[in-house]
Amino acid sequence: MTPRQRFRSSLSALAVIAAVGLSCVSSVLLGSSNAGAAPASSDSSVTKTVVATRTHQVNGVDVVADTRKVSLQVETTNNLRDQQGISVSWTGAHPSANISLDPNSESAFQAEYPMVLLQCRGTDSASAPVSEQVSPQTCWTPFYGTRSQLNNQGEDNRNIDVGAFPAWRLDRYASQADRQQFANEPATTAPLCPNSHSAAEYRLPFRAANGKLYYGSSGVNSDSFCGPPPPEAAAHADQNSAIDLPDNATFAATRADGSGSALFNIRDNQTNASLGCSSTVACTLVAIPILGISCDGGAGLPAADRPAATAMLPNLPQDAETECERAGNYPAGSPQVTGNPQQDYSVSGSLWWSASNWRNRISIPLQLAPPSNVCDLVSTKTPVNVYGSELLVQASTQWSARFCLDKQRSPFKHVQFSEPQARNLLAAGTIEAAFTSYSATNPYPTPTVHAPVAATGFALSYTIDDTSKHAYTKLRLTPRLLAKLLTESYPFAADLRQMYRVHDPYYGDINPLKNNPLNITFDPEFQALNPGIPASAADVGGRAALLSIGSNSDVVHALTAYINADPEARAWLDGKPDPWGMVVNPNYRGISLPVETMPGLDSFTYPAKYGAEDSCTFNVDPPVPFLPLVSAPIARLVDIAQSVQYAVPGSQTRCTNARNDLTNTNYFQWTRAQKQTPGFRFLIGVTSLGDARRYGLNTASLQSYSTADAATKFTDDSGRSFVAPTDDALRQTAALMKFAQDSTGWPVPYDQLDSKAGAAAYPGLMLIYADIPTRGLPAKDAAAYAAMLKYIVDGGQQPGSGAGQLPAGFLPLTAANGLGSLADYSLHAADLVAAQGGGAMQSPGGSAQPPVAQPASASPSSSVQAASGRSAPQPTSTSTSTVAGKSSAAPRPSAAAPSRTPALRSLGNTVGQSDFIGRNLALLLIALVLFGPVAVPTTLVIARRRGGR
Amino acid sequence: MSMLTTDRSESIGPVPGARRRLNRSAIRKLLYGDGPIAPLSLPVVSAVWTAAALSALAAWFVLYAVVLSGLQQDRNNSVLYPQLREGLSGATTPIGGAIAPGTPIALVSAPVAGLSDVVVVEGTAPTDLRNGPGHRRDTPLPGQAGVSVLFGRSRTYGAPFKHIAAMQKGQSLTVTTGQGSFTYRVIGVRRAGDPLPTPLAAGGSRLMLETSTSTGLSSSNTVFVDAELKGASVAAPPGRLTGIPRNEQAMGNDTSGLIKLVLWAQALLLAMVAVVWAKARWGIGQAWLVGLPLILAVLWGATGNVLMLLPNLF
Repeated sequence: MTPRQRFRSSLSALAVIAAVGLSCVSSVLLGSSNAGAAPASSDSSVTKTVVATRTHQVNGVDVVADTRKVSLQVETTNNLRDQQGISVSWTGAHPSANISLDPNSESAFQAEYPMVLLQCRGTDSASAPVSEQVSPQTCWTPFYGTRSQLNNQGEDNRNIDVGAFPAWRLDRYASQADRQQFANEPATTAPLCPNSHSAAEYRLPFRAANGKLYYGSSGVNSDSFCGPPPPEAAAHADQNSAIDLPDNATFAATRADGSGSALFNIRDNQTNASLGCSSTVACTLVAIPILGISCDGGAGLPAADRPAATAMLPNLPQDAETECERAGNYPAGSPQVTGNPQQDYSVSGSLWWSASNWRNRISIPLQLAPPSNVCDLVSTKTPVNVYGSELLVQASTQWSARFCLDKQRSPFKHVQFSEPQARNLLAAGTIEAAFTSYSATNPYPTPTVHAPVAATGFALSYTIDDTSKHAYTKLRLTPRLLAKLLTESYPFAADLRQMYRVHDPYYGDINPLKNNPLNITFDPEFQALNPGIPASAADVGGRAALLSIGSNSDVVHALTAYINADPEARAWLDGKPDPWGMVVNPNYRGISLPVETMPGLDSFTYPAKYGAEDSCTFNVDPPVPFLPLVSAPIARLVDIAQSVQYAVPGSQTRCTNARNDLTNTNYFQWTRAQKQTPGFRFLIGVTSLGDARRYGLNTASLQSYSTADAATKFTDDSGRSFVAPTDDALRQTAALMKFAQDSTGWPVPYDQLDSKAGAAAYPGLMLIYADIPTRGLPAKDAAAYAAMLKYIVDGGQQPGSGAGQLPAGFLPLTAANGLGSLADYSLHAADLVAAQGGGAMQSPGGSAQPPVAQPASASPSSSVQAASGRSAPQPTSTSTSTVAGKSSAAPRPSAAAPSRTPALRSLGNTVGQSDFIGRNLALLLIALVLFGPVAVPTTLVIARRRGGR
Repeated sequence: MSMLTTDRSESIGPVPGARRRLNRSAIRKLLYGDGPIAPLSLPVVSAVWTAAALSALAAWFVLYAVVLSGLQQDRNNSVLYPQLREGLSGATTPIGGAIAPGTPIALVSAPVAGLSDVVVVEGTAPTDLRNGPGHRRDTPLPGQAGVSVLFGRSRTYGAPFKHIAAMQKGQSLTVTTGQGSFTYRVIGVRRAGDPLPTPLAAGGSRLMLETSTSTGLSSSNTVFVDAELKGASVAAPPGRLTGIPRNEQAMGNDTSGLIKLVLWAQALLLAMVAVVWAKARWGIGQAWLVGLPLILAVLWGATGNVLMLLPNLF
């Protein structure tokens, strides 16, 4: 019972007694009528340069309109995985105009002179078979307007009527077939193919991996636009869906100096089967610096089909050429005009496929890694399973691929699972091995090694736009700011802040949050450390809470241990206001840290029937506690990484009106907030360092050491050191770790981090250990685990992105990093696992201990049976799964599948609720019932005796 | 008030010569001999009546909590039964989404635990559990994939879940919802500190019954019975709640009824005053005749509200 609950119970007990007493008083009246009551390793960076030109042909003479030497660099091109973000940068391109804030949006192609980045199936090589060559037909950009050109008479963007001669028909480099008035129409007569309203039409079908041609494009009613789009096209990825993957076609902006950069999102055939890229199907990143159509005034067209003056359009030949030669309507750098932008068609992204633009392309071959489920596909052997740490996913995916691609080895599979639960399962003998970051609180019943396999950590990843609407990249966070985000102490909305009440035993109903900033962007502490981030009350979900993990996790343990070790944060949690007067939410005051899961404790609800009639505060009855909806943690770390990547806050604060078809009624429900608008994004989430590096997320610098006076307001970072999760900073932390006999591991010394010695050490480092019993495993499994352990600490510590290597975000366990003793320890542990003699580890380099006596219940034979006979627990997910696109069922936040897993579904021990009211009340009632029969005669006797005297 | 005062002075204590019952005088004789009986003083009379009334009230509370509230629950549940029958036959019983608390949603039968065709209502607030076992609103309905949780009282209001802890592994229990009839097989009984059952396989359905221990005077704790569905689970419409207020959680109580309780207490006070007045006007017999049903009715309502302050699993 928390003090609060105890208080409530005693309050109720008091109320019961008071009520009984009150009734007593009244019944006395009745009875007697006469009485009174970290940065990624760039192992495969590629740079290519091309000279792009736009050369018109005027009266048979070449007129060079524009020449650019474009140089494009791609950070990594090898071993790419699904949804990996690869950094692309370029110089020398034409500055862009009419720029969309979101380069992946449906309207981004309307920019003038964008840099078009597309993932295309095939290789860009004339020597390859035609079916395996890159062409515009194999490039993924399903937006309507980038594939279908319906040029309506008199409806040209600049209001000059060019009749049936839009710019692409004057393209001097295009083939005759592509310059027809109705070009590339499908052979079968689909409705509106060609569209009878159009003066000219060009259709660019998408050729799927299975050969099917899709003439439709996304965002519009498929039937009226020449057939359906490919199934993976994100129909309305921008606005209405919370989690649908946006398309990866990128129409990025080039700055005024000709440079630009973008984070390009790779898709493999699991997410985009129509595109079909995989480790065996070659794909190419095609970058097209749009320069515009090279026009010939129609000279290349057949004589009968050239622009000619008509009565209606007397200046048609000149107008068509003028329109085609246009060089931009908007000044460089201008933001996109909403509504009906008047961009110059010939230099817009619409015509990226035209021969004039396509010839300027830069092609970068992409080499995808074997899919994460490669083991399921190629290996016939049954893998041994290791349950646990989500932090290890990126590494274990690469390691296990190596194991199952090698016929000699027996494979292992990493099943992602909450670490505390994995430890419980291991103790129960349900599973054979666990990856975990802390040692078990109760010793395992069987001798078990606790062998370090990787050094990585958590990262505070973020997607934040600054005042100029560009990505902010210098986020700095203090433990106190993290504590504020985790304790529901930002009141989210002004009306909530005003109405918020908690009951205080001494002062009655009080509003402790009344002086707290609405969200972190209004917090002077945050503003002092992160200048240039606009304070905003929009999209508050991401600004008022940290996107955290909802299941029990060692990551939360490490994060809260870091917060707990900071004197400022701890004092604030204990009720001391920060220098600006912000206080902790009273429900969390004095909370004991570290914890494995951060509870949602606030119970404030809006009053019933509050707000507008179509709002959820009005309709959801009874009202649910609101601030826990804001903090709404997510079940898995990889989902947080992807939510940060696509800027989808976790908050369940969006009100939707859904229809229950079974009862024919409408109802309101709280659902997950929408994807944030690019330019105004703000989202911070807890991710693993490996995921952050893999998906190209920005990671925050965390405060390690502070000499600043805790009681004074500050406006800059003086006296505080902030550390980004670089390999160097991880190494600094590793240097401070010492082997601890009691917990058999190398704990992160948070108290030392907050000192001068730890000023450059990253506090988010976490070691991951393999917990494997040294007795009772079947010989075959034991050998497999031992081989796995041996490989991991030896070959598996080579940095790289290939199978068997250690990905970015992990610090190799090598002597060079000061972690050689850990690797040696694990090698020795592997021997003990292989021997299965019940040996226990003593200390680094120590020898095996004689087997210790075991309780009878944990005898080897019974635990073997338990391991094989008991049903394996349901994994949170296996390492093979990623957030899938349309091709498979995407995890969709809905009330039916709450992202916050109810505690009763977790493993562990039953937690009971006890209550003392019953006992106290029963005693009181018994006393009262007996009181009358005893007291009445006694009183009478005494009274009589006195009266008789 | 003046009338009351004069009235009081006239009728203090048993006046000599007033109607006395034989046994009473016999007891007096036994106690004090045959001497003349002096009138008792006002404080003594007050003390005696207060003590007697306190005891009577406590006895009433026990009677209500243990017996009468059971009648109340029996009646409420019987009223819900035809409602549910009608809903099931007309396929209008809600099977998912946000269901209003108090709606009958299922019928549960577990002969070993003494449950036969008991109507389960949606919601687990103390007021909902007055009418029978309640279904926790942030869990799927029985028969649907996932763990659905039913709360029931173990001491008051008929104590529908009093005997669930006696269930044995392998015994079956049947739940009928708008999606059909589901038979669950009991996995076991759990108390605090016991290991949780293995996680549910994807698509599996489990029923968890929860109540409080009802033994003796020790502090009560929660007790759970897990049962796994035999056969396939059914589809669940979306829109379930993701969180529930504290008064619907295990051992939650409802303090929102305090105002009602005060009003009931005031009604009780008024009723008493009226009876006292009636006694002065009509005589004691008539006052009891008219007053007792009135007082009982008001007490009934007041006590029902007091019980809402107790944990919902009691």
